[in-house]
Amino acid sequence: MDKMKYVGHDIPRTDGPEKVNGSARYSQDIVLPGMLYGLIVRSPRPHAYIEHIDFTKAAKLPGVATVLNLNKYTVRYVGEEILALAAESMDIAEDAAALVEIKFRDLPFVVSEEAAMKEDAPRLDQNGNVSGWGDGNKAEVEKIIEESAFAVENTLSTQVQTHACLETHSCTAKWEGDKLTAWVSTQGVHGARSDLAQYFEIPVENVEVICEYMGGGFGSKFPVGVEGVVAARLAKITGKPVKLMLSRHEEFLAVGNRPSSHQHLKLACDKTGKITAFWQESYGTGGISEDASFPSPYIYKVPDGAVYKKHEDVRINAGPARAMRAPGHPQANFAMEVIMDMLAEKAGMDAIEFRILNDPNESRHHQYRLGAEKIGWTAKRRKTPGSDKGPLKRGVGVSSGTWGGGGEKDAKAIVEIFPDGRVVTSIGTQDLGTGIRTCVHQVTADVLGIPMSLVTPKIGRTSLPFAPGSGGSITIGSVTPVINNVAGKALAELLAKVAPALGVSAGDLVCEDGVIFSTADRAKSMKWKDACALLQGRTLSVQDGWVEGFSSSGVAGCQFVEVEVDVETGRVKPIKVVAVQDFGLPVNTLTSRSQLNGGVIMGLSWAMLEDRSLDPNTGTMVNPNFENYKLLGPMEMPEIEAVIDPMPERGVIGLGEPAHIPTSGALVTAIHNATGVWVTKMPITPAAVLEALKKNGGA
Amino acid sequence: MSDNGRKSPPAAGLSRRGFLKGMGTGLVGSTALADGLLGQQASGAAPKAASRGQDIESAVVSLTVNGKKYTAEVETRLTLLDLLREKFQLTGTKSVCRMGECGACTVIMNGRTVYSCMLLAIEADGAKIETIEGLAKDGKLHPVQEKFIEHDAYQCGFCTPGFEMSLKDLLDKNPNPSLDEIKHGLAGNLCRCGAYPHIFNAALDLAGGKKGGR
Ligand code: FES
Ligand code: FES
Repeated sequence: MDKMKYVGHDIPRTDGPEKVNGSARYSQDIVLPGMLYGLIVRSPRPHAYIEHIDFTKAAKLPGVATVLNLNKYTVRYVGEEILALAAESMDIAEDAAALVEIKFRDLPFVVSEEAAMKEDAPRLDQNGNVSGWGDGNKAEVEKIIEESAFAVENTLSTQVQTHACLETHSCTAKWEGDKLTAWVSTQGVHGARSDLAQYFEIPVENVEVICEYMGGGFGSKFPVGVEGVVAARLAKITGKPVKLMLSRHEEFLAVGNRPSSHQHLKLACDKTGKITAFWQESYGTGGISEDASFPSPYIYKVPDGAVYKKHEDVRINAGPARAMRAPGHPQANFAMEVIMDMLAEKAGMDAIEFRILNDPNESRHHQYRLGAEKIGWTAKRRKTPGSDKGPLKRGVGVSSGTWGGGGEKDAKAIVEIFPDGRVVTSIGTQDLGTGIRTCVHQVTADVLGIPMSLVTPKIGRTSLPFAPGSGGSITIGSVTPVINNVAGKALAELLAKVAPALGVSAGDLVCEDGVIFSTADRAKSMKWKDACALLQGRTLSVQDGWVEGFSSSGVAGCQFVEVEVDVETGRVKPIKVVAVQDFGLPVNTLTSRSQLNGGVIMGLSWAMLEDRSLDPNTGTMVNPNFENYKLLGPMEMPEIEAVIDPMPERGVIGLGEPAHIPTSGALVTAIHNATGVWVTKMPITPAAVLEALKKNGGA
Repeated sequence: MSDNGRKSPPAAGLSRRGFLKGMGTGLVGSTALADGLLGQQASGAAPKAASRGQDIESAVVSLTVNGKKYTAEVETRLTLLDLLREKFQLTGTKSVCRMGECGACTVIMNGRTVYSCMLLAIEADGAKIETIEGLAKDGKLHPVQEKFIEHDAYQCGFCTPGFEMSLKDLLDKNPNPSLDEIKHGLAGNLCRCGAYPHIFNAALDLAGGKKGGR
């Protein structure tokens, strides 16, 4: 890697200029001649039969092009799609929506997990509300716990978080005959293309999906979704291009969230601090969808046969969950770290030493020490939690996480070398904001040994070779090995042409800084541009796929938070966060730090503020806007130190998800260290802190 | 715009103008922002009657955007944001919440930052507007833009134009802000990707101050 001039460095983004001057075109920025605006009319009821729909008035409103009934008979959550329309402006579309008359016959509904679990609860459908699974022998595990030297027990809860991407889900669709072009804000252009082709029963090659830029996805933008299909249907019916952008309100209701979790946990250890048993009974809800599970006992080692788990997915009348940044892991982290710290305290051990003893991952062992040093653990960790004098109390906490990553093997790319020396690398991946466009650019230039200025990366459309959807932190592990391979092959082909001209063997030739030379005789050299001129007007083009060896999977990371808590007001103020993260070979250290910061901030935001709140009387979300669904803003920013723990020998691995996992656990353990009390429920609002203090008889 | 002389249907309820009057900004933002909004409402640019007789549901607005003069006939309820984005195709200004809660639509109007989603197009009649498209001059990036690139002060980039306009305005008024002043100056803008630390670094660099945590 020492030859790498760009990989492993701080490289400003290739698309920086477009992003800072407003010329980057997101799906929402597409404006086409004669374009109409699509809008979806959604259910205001949490559970109802649709008895009658009358949209004659809406259809007659001047400026309305068409109304499309989605033919639903039942709705099961506030925000479920009922019909769609297209009009000449967004305002007219909104007017028309207000003229649609729908007669509902309301059905009983339920919007809290606890209510939905009751015997006589209203049911979502004939399948019932609860489905569960179990693992391990409860009686045996309880016996081990009883016989262990130390044991703790607690119930921890995490709330529903929504993705809240700043660009809402959107699609602009245009038909020419039976060919569809769709600008979709999506995490997978190729997946979106398949979805659309399948829906309209046309060959995939008739569909082009374009997503050059997107305003965040975080897991919520995989399927093309009802909104994407509806945009294309409206365009087909009207014969005009249609742009459909969800409103902020719709975004909160209908296009995904992170499920809640309620975890009753028991953890025990022996006299030396080795964990002896883990016990869990839990439930959570992903709205009308099922999977609210999470990995446990997460990263910690528990002896075989000493784990008991029972989990129930509870369905309620709320919008479906979608994968969200490290699905399940942040929930697992929050609860495990609390119970770990409780047990460490009971066993009289330092929180870090206790973790090292029970964490089988050796990378993390040195990360704990590295992070501890950076946060000033020894000086700042309160020996007696809550012992600071006065109402402003400080403390530090620690937490850790893991993630897989890896790469998908069917990714492909084309590298073209032009006679004038320019190079274009094409791959149908998409940049969610992680910086993959820049990575493609860097890797191509480094493999070829030429300046980045000669290379143009092309991504973000389905006319380019297949690359998988961007989720699970697999993008970089899928994309960079392909680029490495294909650029390497293209270079070999070029060198084969240069060798006879220089009278050397091609195997001896390398290219560095835009100069090709023989390693046997440095004097035998040729400038890149002259070498490309040997192509004699032809373009050298190589297409190939993924190969083993440039990427791997599995990362370790840990985070530390220093916090200040005002025990009179309950105000929690994170002072500093240290995020130590391994992700193999960091391709771009600058954009990687951005991702680490972003993961931490989203973690703090979830832990302290974000909460999708549903009204049990109406079934509606009471805070579907940024006024009441709070995101962390500039004023609440702590100092964040993003520490890359490089392990280049492992190859490239994604880091989007891991960066987000450990933050809430580190925050809550820090709050305990500062105050001496456990906040067992997120979000950790001032009220939650005061309640915890009160329960413990004050600080 | 369709020229059918359409009136708002009764079912549409509260007009956007009425809505604007009844609604504060969503975030405790920079005071300049709030002043700008209120000041504009007080001066209340009267809509000019359109060519079509009595109909004041539409009006002609003329304004200068990035030094260029624009005239358009618009529905009186059209927001400045949609005028810029959908009519003039100046789509660098982003539409995120449309309720004054996020700052993505921030533009500078007559020397003050405003949320363009919280203003009607007719309220911008005669105004001088600066948008992100006008920040670079003669093909040369504005220092704010250069520093955003250098410090990687974005991820997805969707909040970026709004942050840049807020920061430009802050620096125009206070060329040497402290970190605290920077945070206050940007308090009306949200970033879901969490680019704040790098945005602060860019701002501190411009302020000639020492760099914050990386
Ligand atoms: S779009 Fe105007 S403040 Fe959010
Ligand atoms: S960079 Fe994505 S929202 Fe700020």
